[in-house]
Amino acid sequence: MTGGGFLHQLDRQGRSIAPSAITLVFILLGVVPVPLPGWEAIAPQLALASVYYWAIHRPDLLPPWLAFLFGVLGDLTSGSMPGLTAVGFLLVHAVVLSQRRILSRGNVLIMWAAFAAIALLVALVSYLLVCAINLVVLPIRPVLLQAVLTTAAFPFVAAVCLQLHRAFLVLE
Amino acid sequence: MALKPRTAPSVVRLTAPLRAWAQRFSIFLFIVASVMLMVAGRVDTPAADTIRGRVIDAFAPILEAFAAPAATAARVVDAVIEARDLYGENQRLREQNALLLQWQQAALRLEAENRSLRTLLNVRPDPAVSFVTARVVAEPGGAFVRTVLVMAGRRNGVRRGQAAMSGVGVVGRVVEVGEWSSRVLLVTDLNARIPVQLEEGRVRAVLAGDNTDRPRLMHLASDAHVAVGDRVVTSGVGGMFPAGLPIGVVGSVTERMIRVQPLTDLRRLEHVKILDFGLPTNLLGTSP
Repeated sequence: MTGGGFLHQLDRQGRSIAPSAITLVFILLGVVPVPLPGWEAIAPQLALASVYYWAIHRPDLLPPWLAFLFGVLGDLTSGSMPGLTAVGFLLVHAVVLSQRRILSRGNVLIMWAAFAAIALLVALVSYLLVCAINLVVLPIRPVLLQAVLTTAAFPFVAAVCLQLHRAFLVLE
Repeated sequence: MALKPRTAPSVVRLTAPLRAWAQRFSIFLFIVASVMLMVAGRVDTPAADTIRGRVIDAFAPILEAFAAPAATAARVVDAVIEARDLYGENQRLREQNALLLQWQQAALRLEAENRSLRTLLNVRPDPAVSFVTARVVAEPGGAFVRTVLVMAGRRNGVRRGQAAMSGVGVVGRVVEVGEWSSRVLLVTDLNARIPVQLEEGRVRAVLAGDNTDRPRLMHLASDAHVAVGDRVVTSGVGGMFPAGLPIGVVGSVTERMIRVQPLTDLRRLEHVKILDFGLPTNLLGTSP
């Protein structure tokens, strides 16, 4: 009986790390070299969409502190300023928290539109932060393009997350 | 008994906003922490170096596994494009080959002459150069940083500050070293500053990246004559890089700005050479 309980516990724990695991995979996918001219400047932030998905559907499994941790980890992996991606992830949480009632209704188009706004917000805030801390004015075009591509990649990320969600987390 | 149903909802009514407020506050706190981290990250500390090294070591093997199929796909695409352009390419290479053969003769003659003059002058030769070649496994996305992660680290003799080159020119400098992986800051990155000189006229300047594809020439003497096509090489000032490594050619000259076109296409690096010039490592701020 206790053995079954233990296995059950283990199973639940295992399932509950699915959101973290897929977010980590998206962080790593984001830095894989793609030999297209200019790609690395505008590569979509897949992990941002993943954090968004889980912030809406299972915020308990990817809470703000974990988003912060993943953000810093992503920055250390990509060599950008530590904290930059974390700010983006946390902004996602902040917006989702304030609009939870609308977002949790499950309308895909509304989710996508809201994500477009969030991606733009994250891009602008990151741009301003980097410019302010480095005391330079950077070209803004790649930043906006990246936000557009991140928005375009949302259905793909959301579909992957949805599959995981159904496969591992619905039975609980 | 009748009280219970009434108190329970009121407690919920009270705790729910409180919890939301606490959650909002924690997000705010984490955002503040992130920004503080960004500011603190500007300062180099040995502890931060160690952490960065550990993190890239941990992820580099996974990224290497991801990078291999991506590179294969790219090669297939390249092969198709090349097959289409085969005839023209062949023609072009034939012409270039003829030209290069002439240059080879010139180089051999100059090398011989140089050798004999050096013996006359008793010049101390530069220390021997050794290098390791490493595969590029990650190329971070984002508009704010230009670095690559390579699969060679301390165990392979890579040290902080060493130059990274492609076959033709300097691509950047090693800024983080792990046990088996390291990070190269490309010459186009916002934070890259390399002392250079124009081969023609030996005019000194600083090559400064600004996250665009073509870094700028800064701190150039105002009377210096610069023309499009001038070769830009490292000057060796500051002891970071040895002198004379090619970086690029002047790409555009305007009143306000001179931009340099790197010799290497930095957007599609597959391998880099990390060069060890036998420079005293303590000058570069590293301790083994």
